[in-house]
Amino acid sequence: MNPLLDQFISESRDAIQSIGERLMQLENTPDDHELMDELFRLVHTLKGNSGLFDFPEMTRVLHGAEDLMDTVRDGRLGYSRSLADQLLEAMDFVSGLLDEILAGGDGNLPADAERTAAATALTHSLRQLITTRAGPADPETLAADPLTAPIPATPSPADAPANVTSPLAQIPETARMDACRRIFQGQPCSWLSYQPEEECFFKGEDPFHQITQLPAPLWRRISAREPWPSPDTLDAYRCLLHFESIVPMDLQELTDHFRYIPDQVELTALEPAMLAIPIGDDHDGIPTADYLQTATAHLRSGNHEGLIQASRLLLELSSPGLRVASALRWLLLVLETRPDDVPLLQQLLDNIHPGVAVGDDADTAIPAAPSPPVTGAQGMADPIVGIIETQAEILALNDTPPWLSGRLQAVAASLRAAFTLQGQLKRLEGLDEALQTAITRHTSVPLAHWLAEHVPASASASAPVTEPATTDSPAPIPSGIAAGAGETRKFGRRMEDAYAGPSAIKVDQAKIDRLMNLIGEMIVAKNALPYLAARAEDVFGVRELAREIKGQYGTINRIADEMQDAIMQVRLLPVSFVFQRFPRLVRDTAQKLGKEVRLVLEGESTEADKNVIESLADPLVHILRNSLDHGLETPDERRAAGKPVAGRLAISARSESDRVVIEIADDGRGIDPAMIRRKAYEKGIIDEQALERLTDQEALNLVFAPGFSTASQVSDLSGRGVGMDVVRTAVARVNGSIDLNSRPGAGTRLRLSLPLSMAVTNVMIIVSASQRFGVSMDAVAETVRVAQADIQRIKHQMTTVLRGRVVPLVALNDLLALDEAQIPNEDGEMAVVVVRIENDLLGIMVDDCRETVDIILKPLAGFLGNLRGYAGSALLGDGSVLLVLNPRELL
Amino acid sequence: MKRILVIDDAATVRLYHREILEQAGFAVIEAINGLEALEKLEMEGPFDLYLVDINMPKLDGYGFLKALREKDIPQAPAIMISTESSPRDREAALVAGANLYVVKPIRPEQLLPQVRGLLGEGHPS
Amino acid sequence: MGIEIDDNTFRVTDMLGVEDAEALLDWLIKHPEGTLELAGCTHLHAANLQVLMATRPRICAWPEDALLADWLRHALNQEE
Repeated sequence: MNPLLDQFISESRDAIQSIGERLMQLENTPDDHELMDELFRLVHTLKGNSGLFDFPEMTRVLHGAEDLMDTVRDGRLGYSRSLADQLLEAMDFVSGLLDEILAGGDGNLPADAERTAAATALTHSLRQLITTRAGPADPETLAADPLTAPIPATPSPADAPANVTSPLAQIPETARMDACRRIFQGQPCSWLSYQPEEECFFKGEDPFHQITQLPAPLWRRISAREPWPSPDTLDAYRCLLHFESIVPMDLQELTDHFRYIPDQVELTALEPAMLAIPIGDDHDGIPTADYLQTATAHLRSGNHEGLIQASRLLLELSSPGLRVASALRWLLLVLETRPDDVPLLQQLLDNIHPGVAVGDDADTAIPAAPSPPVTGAQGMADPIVGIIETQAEILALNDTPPWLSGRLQAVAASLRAAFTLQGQLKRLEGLDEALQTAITRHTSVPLAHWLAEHVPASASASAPVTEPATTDSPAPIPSGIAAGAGETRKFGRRMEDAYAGPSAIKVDQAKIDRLMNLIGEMIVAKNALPYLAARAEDVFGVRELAREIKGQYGTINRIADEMQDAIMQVRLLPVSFVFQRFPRLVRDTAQKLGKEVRLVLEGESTEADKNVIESLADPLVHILRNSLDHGLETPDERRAAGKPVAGRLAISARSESDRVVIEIADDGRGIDPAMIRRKAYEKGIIDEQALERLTDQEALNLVFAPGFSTASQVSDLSGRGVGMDVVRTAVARVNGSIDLNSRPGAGTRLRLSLPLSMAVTNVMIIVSASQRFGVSMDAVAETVRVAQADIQRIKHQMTTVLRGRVVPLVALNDLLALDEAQIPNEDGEMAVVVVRIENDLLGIMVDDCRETVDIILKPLAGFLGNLRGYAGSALLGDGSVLLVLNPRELL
Repeated sequence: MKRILVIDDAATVRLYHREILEQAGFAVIEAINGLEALEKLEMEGPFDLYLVDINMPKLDGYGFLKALREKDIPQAPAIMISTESSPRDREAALVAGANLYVVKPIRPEQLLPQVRGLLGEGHPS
Repeated sequence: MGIEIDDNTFRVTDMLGVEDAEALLDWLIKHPEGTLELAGCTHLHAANLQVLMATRPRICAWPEDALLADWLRHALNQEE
């Protein structure tokens, strides 16, 4: 993907994240103006960035969001929950688009009618908030959406006047009939009304191009949204055009064509019934009563021939300009092409009733909303002309700010550059003098005079412009140099502050990972030096060299340690990285459940390795949902229990030596051990004996057992078959542990303890069946030697007693399915690694325990990745590979 | 090589401008807001051209331009880049010291002739 | 930029861009009796279209491109 798109996606994600956070903060301090400013700017930046790409839907929605935030920032609209909801929804939409773009890979977002519709709807609701709440409504946004308020399809005499407003009634009958015939022939036709924004030229749009790209219309009208001003007051760059046409295209194609500007067009798929609008004068003196009787009878009996004859007869009697004649012509058209369309025929017959005339007055449909003309066409013409004109405009300003002198110099510099580029160096004569005079007299006038003399305004348009266009001979400068002069306009923008942009640089994740891997390899490689020293001494007998190698090793060791420490620092992330999603999660979930929750976050700046933090996200989300769903009671239940109505959910993080501890506590109903016991028994997780024997705490821990779910029903929120066992497994995967405390009626507390860093693992090397294995020191409680005589067999289980506690023993060779007996040492003792699994101790018998080493643990890849029982592998200093065991999974 | 200071709080926009301008053979220096732009000016300035966004934290484009024009240094042209096409915003930019006012979205074929025009550097073709 | 002007005729030889609208308007104001020759015109930006609609100049030759000519006739004569 190209770097610009990369940058865009990453910056957008950050911005969306921040927007979510600021909205949450605004919920607590709805009057915080700094927050609002910041929110505005975030949305504004997002929109601006999206405009660099071809993502019209995204830009549209963000534009709506920006306008909304602008209204909020100006104080025209207060913060509200529905506002936050709307904005969050908009951000979700944008987020989804980013995902799509990312998935596409090539930075394209193919047209998609559904997405366009979603964007339109979203933008509409954003704007709705502005208009419905921000006082005087903007007439443009209040205009009825043509697609939701379609042209009445079946005009009846009763609502005939409504037809006057149908833009279709203004279209000559022949054109409508033409369209109708085509539709009958299977060519879809659509109605298009395209009113470009006044400022659209400045956005690089060419509405006329848009229109001429379409197939030739069956009917068209080009008008102005207000009467054309006289030529000398006309602003060519304020678009007043209004295009209306019937296009032989289906609605979908047309919608696609205008997908960048859906709010500037009204599009309707045409149906014959919409087109068949009889128009004309009222019909006095025409004997319609008899006809209607006959015609209705023929229609009912399906006698098309009779209906045609009767209609032709009456048509001959009627003057063509009458409405009845028009209705008859339509009737005949339908009878010729679609005689079975009885409802349409009936509709037309209904029109022949004497009634209110259907006007064909077109003018009523054109809204007249004159607004004062705006200037501002400069800067669009030839760049050099634009530059010179703009400098003239600056010189025409009649203010004298303290920075006038600098401004004048910049103007002179710009003029010098522009003239230089034009190759008109001699025009520059006198510029410096004029500038000096202007600076000395502290006024723009001398420079303005100089410019007027050197670029005579009158010389422009009357001169022949026959030269071919090249950069050296641009078009002469049109008049209008003095534009903007004498106009005094207000300006004032506060200096914006408060947003503290991080002063950090962003580095791609992969680069840091690579650096870490390299440092890891360095640490391993460095471990080869002691081996080398030993070989120098033992094999080659050069003790001196061995000592020097050891000395060097010390130095390299220290640097390597520092490097490792430094890269760990880089990889540290604050837990807020995960926590920041919680306010919204809790808010949304609580809302869905009808619960009130106060979320308390503590220790968000606590740091841990990125992998650890990232691995936390899913378990924590699950735990939170569990608390909200099962832990906290509904407001009524809480009231009944004498608790505050709003439940409290606290998430805290802190560092404890080399671990990070995260606690999630709620003051909900707690967990009843008796209930857990019963459930576990019912589900066959424990047997009858255990039912009696388990302590309350042991019973609570059963929630982590596979297949256990405390909720009687799997709810939509925390359910889907994912239980706390999955949480425990996820935590264990990063060498973490989890424990649970609960007091019925008072609440539940979960405590997660995780290593600060996963990158370097301290393992003990053990030997079994002549192979070396590693065991993470985190899991090792102690190593002991047990005399064979002290090993008892209880049933089939080997046990021994350690400090008065019975510890089960297993042979590593058995666990690994190695067909060898464990070898005792010379004194007949077995080496036992005592590991802690949850709160239980287990002795693993091995052949020998060796030293501990720091290793960079790499997960097993490929097919080996499916092997259970191994945490991964590591390279040792002598180049051999060490398999590291995961005792929990071995069992 | 002419040096252009690009001031915008949006990293994407800065990168966008950088790509356009560097490809056209200009050196690009970036600043993330007006305040940082003033620092860059102090340390690496003056520059040959300034591309200035309006809405930025800490010090916005207007504030930067005024501060720039008050400095006693060789004054170079500045282009203000805005999302607003209203004449009021345009005038405010010119008052503050911009020499051109350009409305987003900016296309390379639009920006480059303007940049060249203000630098007095023609296109080879 | 395909514009040729002699005396009282404004001749468009290929395309009228957005930047030409100002010049066109200017010329039409100064030459109210001037004639427009659009035979070679391949497209004109909407800004030019509205200049023509607001000033209603005399047109001595319509674009050879039938589709464009059709549009312009509709815009300027409002035939229906």
